[in-house]
Amino acid sequence: MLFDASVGGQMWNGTQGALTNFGTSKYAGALTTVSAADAAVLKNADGNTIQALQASGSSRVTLNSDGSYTFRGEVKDFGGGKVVLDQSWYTNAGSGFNINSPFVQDASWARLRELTLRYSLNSAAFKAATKLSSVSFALTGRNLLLWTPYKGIDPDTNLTGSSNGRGLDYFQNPNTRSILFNLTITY
Amino acid sequence: MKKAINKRIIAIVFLLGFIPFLNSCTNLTANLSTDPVNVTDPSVIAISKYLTGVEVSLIGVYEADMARLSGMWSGYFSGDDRQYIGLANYVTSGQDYDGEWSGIYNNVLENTMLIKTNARMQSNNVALGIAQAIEGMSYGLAADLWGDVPYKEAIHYPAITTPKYDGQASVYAAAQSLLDSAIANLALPGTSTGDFLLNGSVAGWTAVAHTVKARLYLHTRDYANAITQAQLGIGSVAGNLMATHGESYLNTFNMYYSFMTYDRSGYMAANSYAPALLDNTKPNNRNNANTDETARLNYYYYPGGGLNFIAGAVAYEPNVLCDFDWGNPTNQNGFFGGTTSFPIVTYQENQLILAESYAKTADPANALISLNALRAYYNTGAHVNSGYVALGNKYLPYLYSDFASGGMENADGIAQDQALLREILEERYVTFIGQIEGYNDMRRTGNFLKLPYATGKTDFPRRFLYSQIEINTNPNVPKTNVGLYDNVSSFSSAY
Amino acid sequence: MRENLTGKIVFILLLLASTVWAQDRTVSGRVTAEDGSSLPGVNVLLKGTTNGTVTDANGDFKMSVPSSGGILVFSFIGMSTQEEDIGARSVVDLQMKADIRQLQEVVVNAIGENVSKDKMGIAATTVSGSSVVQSGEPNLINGMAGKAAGVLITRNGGDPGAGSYIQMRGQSTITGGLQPLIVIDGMPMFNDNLGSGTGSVQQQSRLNDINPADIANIEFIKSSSGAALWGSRALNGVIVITTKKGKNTSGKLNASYSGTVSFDQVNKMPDLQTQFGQGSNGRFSTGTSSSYGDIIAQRAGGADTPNGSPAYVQFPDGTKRYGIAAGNAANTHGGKNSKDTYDHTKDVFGTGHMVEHGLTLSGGNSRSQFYASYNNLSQQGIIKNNSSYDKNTAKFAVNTELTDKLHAVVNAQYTNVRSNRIQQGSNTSGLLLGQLRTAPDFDNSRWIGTAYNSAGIATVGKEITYRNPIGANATPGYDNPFFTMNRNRSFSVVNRFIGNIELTYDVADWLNLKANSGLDAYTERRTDFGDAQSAAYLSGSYTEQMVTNSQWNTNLYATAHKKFSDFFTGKVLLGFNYNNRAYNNVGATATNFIIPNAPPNLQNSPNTNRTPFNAATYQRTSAGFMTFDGEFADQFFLNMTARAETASTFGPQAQSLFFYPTASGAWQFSKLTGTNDFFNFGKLRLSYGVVGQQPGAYNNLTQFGVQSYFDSYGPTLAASSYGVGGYAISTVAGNQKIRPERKHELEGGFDLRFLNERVTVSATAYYNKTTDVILQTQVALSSGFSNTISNAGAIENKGAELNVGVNWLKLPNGFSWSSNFIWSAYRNNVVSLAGAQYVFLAGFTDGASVATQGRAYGTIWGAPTMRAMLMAPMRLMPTVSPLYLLQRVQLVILTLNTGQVLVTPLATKT
Repeated sequence: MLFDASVGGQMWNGTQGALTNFGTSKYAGALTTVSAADAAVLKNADGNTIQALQASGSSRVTLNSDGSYTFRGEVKDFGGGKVVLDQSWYTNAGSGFNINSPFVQDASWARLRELTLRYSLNSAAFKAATKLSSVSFALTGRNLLLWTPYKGIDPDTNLTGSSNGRGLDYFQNPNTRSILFNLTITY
Repeated sequence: MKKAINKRIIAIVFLLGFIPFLNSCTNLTANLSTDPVNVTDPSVIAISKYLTGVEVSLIGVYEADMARLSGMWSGYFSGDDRQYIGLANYVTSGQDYDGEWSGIYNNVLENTMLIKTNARMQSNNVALGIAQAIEGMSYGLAADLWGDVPYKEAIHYPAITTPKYDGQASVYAAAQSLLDSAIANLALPGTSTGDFLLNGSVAGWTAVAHTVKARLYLHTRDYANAITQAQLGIGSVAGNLMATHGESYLNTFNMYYSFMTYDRSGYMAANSYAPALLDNTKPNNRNNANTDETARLNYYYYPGGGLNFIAGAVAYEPNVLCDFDWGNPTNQNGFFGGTTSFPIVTYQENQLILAESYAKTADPANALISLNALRAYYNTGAHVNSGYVALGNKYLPYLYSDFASGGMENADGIAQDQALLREILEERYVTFIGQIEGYNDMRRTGNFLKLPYATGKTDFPRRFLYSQIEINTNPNVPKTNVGLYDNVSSFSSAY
Repeated sequence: MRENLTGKIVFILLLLASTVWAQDRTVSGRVTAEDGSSLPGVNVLLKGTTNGTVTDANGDFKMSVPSSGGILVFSFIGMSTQEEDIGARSVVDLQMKADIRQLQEVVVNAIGENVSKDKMGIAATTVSGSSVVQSGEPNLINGMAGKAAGVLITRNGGDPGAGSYIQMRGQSTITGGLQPLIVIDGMPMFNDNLGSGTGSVQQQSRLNDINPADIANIEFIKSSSGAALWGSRALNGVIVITTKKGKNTSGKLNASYSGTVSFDQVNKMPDLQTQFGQGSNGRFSTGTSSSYGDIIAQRAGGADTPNGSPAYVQFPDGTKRYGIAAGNAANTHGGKNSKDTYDHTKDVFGTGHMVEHGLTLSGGNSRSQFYASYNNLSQQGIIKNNSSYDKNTAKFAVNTELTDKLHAVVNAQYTNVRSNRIQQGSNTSGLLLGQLRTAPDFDNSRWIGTAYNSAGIATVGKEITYRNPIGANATPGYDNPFFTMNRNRSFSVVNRFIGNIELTYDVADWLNLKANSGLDAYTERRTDFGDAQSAAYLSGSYTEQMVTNSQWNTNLYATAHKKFSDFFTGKVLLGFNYNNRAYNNVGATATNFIIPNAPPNLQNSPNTNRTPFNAATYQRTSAGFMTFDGEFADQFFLNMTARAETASTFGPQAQSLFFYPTASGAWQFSKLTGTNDFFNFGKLRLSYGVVGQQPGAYNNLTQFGVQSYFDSYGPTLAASSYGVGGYAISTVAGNQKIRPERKHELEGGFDLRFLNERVTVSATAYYNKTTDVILQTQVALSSGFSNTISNAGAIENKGAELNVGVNWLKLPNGFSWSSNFIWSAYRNNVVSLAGAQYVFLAGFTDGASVATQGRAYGTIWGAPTMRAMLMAPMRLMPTVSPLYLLQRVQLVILTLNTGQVLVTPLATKT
């Protein structure tokens, strides 16, 4: 049984950055509902309030029957007060094609790298009966468990292979978890 | 038997092991440091190969980055996306000029040095002359754009790794003398294999050298010499030094075309001064009873966009029409089309050097003759793709009286000779669309034509900045009066 | 796998019962190893006497003992010394048990010579071949992950056969290679990972050509002091692999078969949303690139409403798809009614599987032993098609005593690898790029069909993508992942031979000579086929290339050792190393296929669209080396090595010989303090060493090449298309004085053992600094060049490694539990880049891994959120800084491996 962990270090999640632009990432906004009062003051990256957007006929915002507003996006405070992050943010300044820092993420991980159970038949009687030294069966799991705060694929990877540049993630093929069965016969 | 084998093996082991060791290790590794694939011995390369390489680089110098930047700063183009928005608004730093310096000094001058060395050894005076002509052009261009630049100590790596800078005037003088040497050498025996720009024409290169001399004299305001040299310069468009292009991306494409359609589509449009000046639907355009610029406008610019920009989104786009790529009927190729040849040194410029020099030496009669000669050529429609001529092309000769106060070319009532000079400079401006020379004119004349600045700016860039790599590596780079709005020394006095 | 101890004990008891009591007698027996093989040469001693013998070739012994019996002491290197009470027995058979501590005691140094671990002045880290096999990884390198302190192993990806990255003790160079030198049976071997970029396939690591089952031990020589025998190839340390050899089985043939089946799945994918449909601004829009469309849950459900245009696509199953009207303010869904969503983390992924068969044969007598193996591994990746790795390896090793004094070892192995891999990364034909960008309401599994335009004209076999849903556009936008998987193919075949011959001649008791010469040669044929419809290869692209790489290596050395007195024993080794490497890559690319659907053929392309290429390098290194080992008073141990080297890659104007000296010392202080039941062993170590890295081939020369004029924004003119074909001098000046990079390392630590050696503690701290790091540095452009290659940079690492081994339990019934805790951390700092702002390592213009002064190597470089803009009331949004600034990033500062817990309850009573 082998537990393995790597702590510290970051990875550039270019995949998420691009998917933010294309709107397929889970992190590119879920439905958010704000009160009418908030909708009148909260502005998006184009400088429009939620209320104004709705009034202009945009389908990005829905006016609910209780007077609140629902839109796809999130409300965030970068330090200068609350702002609305919606499509105008995700597909422009907030996309991975324009900005990198939100997509540089902690790449720590811990994993159950190996777990092996092996059963061997190698007693004297067995040997006498079969003329074999031993027969063993094993069940091995690899990468059965993975804990990581990283929001992309398994961070134990690198886009540019074994090159000197490390920590890059941009649409490379993902890692695997495996279960193995082994039979070994020794004569 | 066994013993014998043993001894032999021991002997072999010892021989293998220690004889080479005694022989010293270095012999074993010697003679292996020659690249088996790439050329590392310059002696195997013929002069003609260098000559082709240098000429290709020369095209790059006159047609790529520097031309686009000059064009955005002098009203030929507008910057519309990414870095080009900043550049068009004079947001620039030394890094923007690394490629330019590398182009001039590494790609052109380092290799002309190799040609010169080889040509001298092989007594090939023609190749030597062409190399010197190209050197003269290049040093002249560097002086135009940056003022003080290295000349005497340049291209001496590794003997000199941090060349000293020479004053702009002395670089111009050196360029003139290189061109003189070029002209002299071109008259001597030699071969010009590899020269594709002028197909090895000795007379052609001689004329080009004279026109370049005239260009540089004009820049240094030595009008008398400019006239002398221009009279020996390119006598017809057949003698033009033109960059030829073909249909292969990353190989032979017109570099403007490659930039605008393949590499950076949308970066550069022409929401700018030059097309409006040609467009007879716009106020203050330069069409008049004797002049119809419609053909020229449509050959250089594509009104309303629709090529790389959405139709209607821009006022004009550089005309990148090109029959092999845009599915247009033949004979519609625009000035910036993929296969369109690009001017480097031309008859048109030669005529306008004459015209301006005469005008500046109080000889309006000859100035007008030179200008009208060019207009006569334009009137044939040969300056644009024939497909555009029918749109409207008229360049009737001007009379001196047309420049008198209230005349056709002097509606605002300035002095008659000033009006003539203004028309000559304006003709230069539209003749040089896309060329660096338009930006040189803007600076050396103190923006005589009052070309507009970028929005909100009170001045226009008076020079290119020194390359950041050069600044980082060479302590001799001038440090004072080299800001974007500092004139290079020869252009600083009143025009 | 452990032996059945219980069974053995029962067996011995039975024997005991059958013996006859005697007064004056001899006792005999057979000594075997745990695997049942006989052990020749075991010392058998009657305790308290000098009466003893040694087992013969069959492991048998016979000796006379007093009639009263006594105690026999069996000792053998690598086995724990065992005592057996003779009692009344006349036959004393014994199975000796491997002593973990004793086994570790003998390790190999950088050139493969045995050394005693307890006498070493450096930290030794060994991983056994069986633990790599047990990991179940098809690839050797991944099987080593997490098993050695200070060794970082990162998978390049989950594709079958994808390579891996190995790093020991931080990064010691900037643009040179970071991978350690691999030495197999004393011979350096290639571990290339050629040609992995930001948008291609994951290439293989050539170390994985070795069959893990053939490996006896892997030694990680991390310290400069230990690695310096390889001089300028050992900058990143050395991994020494010792392969299995045959054993003396008294002529019996040992055979074993191992079969493995594995099933693989994707372990983690990015999180995607399935709430919002394709489109923009909250409205559905078919064919758009983004998924900022309508809310899927609010759709009407049922089949979509066609937009009335006659254009459609018909799929192979006969279904038709028409255009769908886009949403508008009144109806955000337009004609889109279906609420179906598709999980694009799964599209082309399934369960991969691997089947492996391994066969080994070994045996021998006292003079000759052999080992032979064959292994077949066949893996299908998690991507359902064109993702596979098939490897066949065969190995043969023979040891023989040609005469009493002359010993020969021959190793030969052959590997054949055939692998298909899928394009990935920043590549519009990359698998995940098209897959993950697909709108959640688009079904990728219908990837091809016959497209009919509005005039009814059909295009057969048209690729269908979420950006081209009815095949109406000329281009696919991004490739459908099914199209990528089925139509674009990257295939490679590797054939490799590794072999060596080692001759040892014992001249005298104190002197022997050894010659070890070998070859590692492989060829790799790569083909990359891009379908004419695929996004990244519109009109088609086919590349075929052949890479060949080979090296000859010869080591000759003489070893003399002598015990001068009880106080001092000395050993001297004098040697010579010669290494010759040759690399070639030749191939061609053809684009713009004449027949779009023709089989891959370089001639299916106009002449102007065919591009041949070739490259070659030849490198040679020769060196003399020596080692000196001294033992003082049986507790102080000194090791010094020196190597003097020259190589063809050094500049002609650099000095011709470079020296790599080292010294390391160990003090077994427990010899002074004494030991007891609690404290068993203590050793302090200290070492210092210098290693290097060679310049790349031909850095000394300035190249001339076909001139290309590059504009920094892309436009390019190729002088090959002009005039007579233009040549020009490179803008990078060669450096006649180029010399190897040099790394100095100081390492100290201690090894302790407690509680009857059930607890072992090993701790090490190190500091290393590489100077003369080779960089391309800028030169004044006006001098004629833009860059030169020079020894200009510096980089340093400091780190610590801790290894704690505990044998928790060892019960007589065979239950044992031991753990190994490994902790290591390092901190890297780029000391100098000779004035460069940063050095690009890999990635993109934004989102790059770079080296920059004063920070850790591999810092991520990109555009940050510009926080200064935040406070202005109307500009609450962060904006993109026009400058590329740094992220505060340390790539890896710590690895923590919470070791191995082996539970071996293997008793099977019968």
